[in-house]
Amino acid sequence: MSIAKKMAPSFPLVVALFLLLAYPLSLLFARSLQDANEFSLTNYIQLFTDNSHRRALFHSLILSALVASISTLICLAPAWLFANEHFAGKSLVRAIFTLPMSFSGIIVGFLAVIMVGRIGAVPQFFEKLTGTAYTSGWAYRLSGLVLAYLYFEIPRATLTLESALRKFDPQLSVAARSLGANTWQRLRLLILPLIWRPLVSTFAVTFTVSLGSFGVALILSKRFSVLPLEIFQQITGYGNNGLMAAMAIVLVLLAFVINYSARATS
Amino acid sequence: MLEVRSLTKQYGARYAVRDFSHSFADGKITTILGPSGSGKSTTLALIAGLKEPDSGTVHLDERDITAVRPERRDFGMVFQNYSLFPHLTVQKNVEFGLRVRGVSASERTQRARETLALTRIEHLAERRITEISGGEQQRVAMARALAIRPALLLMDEPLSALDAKLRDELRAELRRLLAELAITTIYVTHDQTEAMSLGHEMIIMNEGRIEQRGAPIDLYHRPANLFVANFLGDSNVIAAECDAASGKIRLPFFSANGSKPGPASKCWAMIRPEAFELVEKEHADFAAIVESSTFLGNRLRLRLRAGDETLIVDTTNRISIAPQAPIFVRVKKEEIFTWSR
Amino acid sequence: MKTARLGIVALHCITWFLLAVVAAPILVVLAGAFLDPTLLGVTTERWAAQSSFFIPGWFGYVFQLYNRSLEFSLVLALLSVVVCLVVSIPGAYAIVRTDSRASRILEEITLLPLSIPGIAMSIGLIQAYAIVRGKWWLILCGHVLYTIPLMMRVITNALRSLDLDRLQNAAQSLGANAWQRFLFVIVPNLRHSIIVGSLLVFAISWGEFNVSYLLNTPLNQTYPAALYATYTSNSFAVSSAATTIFLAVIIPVLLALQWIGGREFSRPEQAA
Repeated sequence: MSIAKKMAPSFPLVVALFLLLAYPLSLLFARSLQDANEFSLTNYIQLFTDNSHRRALFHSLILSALVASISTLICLAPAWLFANEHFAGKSLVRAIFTLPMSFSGIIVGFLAVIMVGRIGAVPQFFEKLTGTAYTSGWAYRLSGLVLAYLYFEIPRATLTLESALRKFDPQLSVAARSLGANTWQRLRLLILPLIWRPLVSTFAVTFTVSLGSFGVALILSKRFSVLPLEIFQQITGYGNNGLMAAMAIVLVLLAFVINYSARATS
Repeated sequence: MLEVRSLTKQYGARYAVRDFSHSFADGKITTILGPSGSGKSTTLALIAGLKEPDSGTVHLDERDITAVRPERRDFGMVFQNYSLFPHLTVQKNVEFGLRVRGVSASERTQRARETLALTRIEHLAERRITEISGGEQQRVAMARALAIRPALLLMDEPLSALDAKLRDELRAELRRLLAELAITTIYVTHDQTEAMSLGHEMIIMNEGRIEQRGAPIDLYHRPANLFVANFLGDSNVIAAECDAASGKIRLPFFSANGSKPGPASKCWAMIRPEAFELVEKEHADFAAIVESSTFLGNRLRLRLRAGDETLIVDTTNRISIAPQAPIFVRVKKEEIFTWSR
Repeated sequence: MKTARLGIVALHCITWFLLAVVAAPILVVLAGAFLDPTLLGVTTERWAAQSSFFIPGWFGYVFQLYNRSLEFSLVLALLSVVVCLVVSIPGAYAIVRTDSRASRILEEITLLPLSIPGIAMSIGLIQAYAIVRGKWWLILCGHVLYTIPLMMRVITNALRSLDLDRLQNAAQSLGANAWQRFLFVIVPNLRHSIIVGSLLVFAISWGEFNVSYLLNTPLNQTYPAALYATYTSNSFAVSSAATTIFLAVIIPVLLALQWIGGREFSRPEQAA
C-alpha cells in the first residue's frame, strides 16, 4: 500500500489541524508584520520599546523561570518517592498530587485568594495562633502569584520527573559503590549526569506552561503585569490587531524556543 | 586471605544466611551453589559490605573489615545484569573505579586499555553501552571490576543473562582469565555445571546454611546428605539396610558388599546413573524392565523398574532398547555411596 | 545505610508537605461551601446571615444564575470527546501504521498545540475567523485544538504497544478486509485507551479557560467563564459554591483517570 493510501484515515485530523492551527497561526504571523496593510515591523518595535509591554515581557520571563526552577528542584523529592519507593497509600497520595494539573487557571487563582488573600485561611490560621495575620494579602503580590503558579506546576513537574526517574536502575548505585565511589562521588558522577536531561526538560515544560498561563494572572495579577494580560488588555481595549498578533507570536516563539532547545540537549 | 566467621542475616523470622563460616582459598575460585532463596547472593552481599550482618565477622588478611563500608573494601564486583553506567562509554565505564580513587587521567586511560585488552574488547572502547551485545557487556563488566586490581573478585551469577552457547564460551574464557590472574574469586551461581567446572572449591548452600564444601568431585561422589545428593547431578537415592560391621548394603532389588564399612542399619544408598552397566544375564546384579528411554545426544537415559523402585540409568547411545523389555544390570559397587537415615 | 534511610525520610517529609499544600485549598473550599463561610472570610455577607443554616441555598443560587453555562460546558465537553475520538482514532491509526517521515512530521504537528499558550491561539482564532466570532462552535474548535493532542498521544501510545502488524496479518489470514480489521480488531483493543483519552479530554474541556474565554459571548458562556464572573463579584460564598460545583465534576473524573489509566495519561503539558 502506498504511503498516501496508508495515511488516508488521517484526513480529518489534517483538516482539523489546518483549520485550527496552521491557518490561524500563519495569519497571526502575517498580521504581526503588518501595519495599515503594509509590511512593517512597527508592531514588534512597539512591543519591545513600550515600557509597559517590555515590563510585562520581562515579568513573564522572570516569573516563569522562578517557578520552573523551584518546582523542578523541589519535585525531585516526590518524583523519586513515587518512582522508586512503595508505601501505604501511595496511589491515593499520587492521585491527590496530580489533581491541580487539570484545574483551570482561574480556579487556582481563586484558591490562592482563599488561602492567602486579605482574609484568607492561612492568615486567619496564623492570627488565631499568634495574633498576627502573616501572609495576609500575599495573593495579589508576587509571592502569591508564585505560589499559585507553583500550585499547578508541582503535579506537572512531579509526573515528568517521575517517569524519567523510574528508568533509573538502583543497581547502578550499588555497582558504583562496589567500585569505591562514596556518596558524594555517586551523586556527582552517576546520579547527576543521569537526571540532568529530565531536569532540563521538566524545567522547559513548566517554564512554557507558566509563560502561557492566563487564568491565574487574570485573577491575581493586579500590580504585576505579565504578557498574557497585556494581550488581554489589548483585546478588551479594542487595541491594534497587529500589536496583539505580535504579542501572541512572541509568546508562541518563546514557548517554542524553550521547548525545542530543551529537546535538543537531550 | 578472606575469612568469614558465623555470618548471619535474618529477615524477620526467616534466616537468609545462617552461621556461614569459611576460609576462602587465596588465588583460587570458590563457587557458591544453591537453589534460589538459599542465601548465596545474600552471603556475597554480606562479604561485599552491601548488607550488614546481624552477627558474624569478615576478615581480610587477619584484619576485621566487618565495619568497613563497601566503597572502601577494594573488592571488585560483577553483577548479574552488569549494571553498566549508561551515560558512559565502555572506556569510561572501565575507568570509573580508577577515577573515584583519584588516579590521574593518563594513567586511568592506560590501565583501562590494558584491562580491555585482557578481556579482548579493546576495539569497543569508544562505544556506548547500549550499542554492544550481551556477551560484550559482560566483558565490560569484568574489565570494570578488574581495572581497579581488587584484592578479591565477587561475581553474582554473571553469566545467567546470556544464552546457552555464549555462556559456555564465556565460562571457558573466564576460567582461563581468572587462572592467569590468580585472583581470589567468589562466584555465586545456581547452575551446577558452572559451579563444578569453574570452582576449585565449591560450597553448596540451602536455606541459608552450608550443606557441604569441598572439591567439586568430592561433593559429586561423596555427598554429605540427601539434599546435596539430589541437588548435584542426577542420582538414584534408595532406602536401604546397611550393616556397619560387614559393610553389606541391602537394597530392595539386590544386595552388595560395600567397599568400606558404612553406617549401621537404616541408610540411604545413592547410585549415579552412570554407575550402572547393561550386561548379559550371567553377569548381572539384578533384572529390570525398561519403562522409557530418552535420547540425550551423547547418551541414552533409561527409566528402569526394578521391583518397586524406579531407577534412572545412563548408558551409551549405541544400543537400541525396546520398551517393556527385560534388561540386565550391574552396579559398580565402589560407586554406591551411603549415609545413615 | 543509615544516611539512606535519613534520605528517604527527608523525601517523605517534603512529599507530604507538598501534598498538604495541594490538598489544603481544596479542603478549605469544600469546608467553606458546606460548613462555614467564615472560614473563607465571609463576614459581612448578607448571605451568611440569611442562609447559614441553609447552605444549599448558595448552590441553588448558583444553579439558578449559571445553569446555562453549566449545560453549555457539559455539552462542549461531551462534544469535544466525540470530535476527538472521531478525528484521533483514524488519525493515530494512520500515523502508527505508516511509520514514515510524513507520519512522524504529522505526529509532531499534532502535538504542537500543547506548546502554544492558549491565549495566543485564541487571538489567532479570533482574527482568523472574525466573522463567526460569536458562534458557540468556535469555542468548541478552541477546545478541540487543545484536546486532540492529548487524545492522539494516548491512542498512539496504545497502538504502538499493540504490535499492529502481527494482529493485522492474523486477521488478514482469516479473511478480514481493511474495514473489518479496523472495526473488529484494532478498535476493541483500544478500549482502555479510548476510555482514558475520553476522560482526559472531558476534564480538560470542562476546565478550559485560556482559549475559550475570549471567544465567550454573554449568550454562550462556558462555566469557567461564569466562575470568573463570580470571582470578580466579591461574593465569596457564591464563588465557593460555584467552585465546588466545578470541582464536583472534575475531581471524580481525574480520580477515575488515575484509577483506570495510571501511566498512560500522565504526560503533563497543558495549561492553566
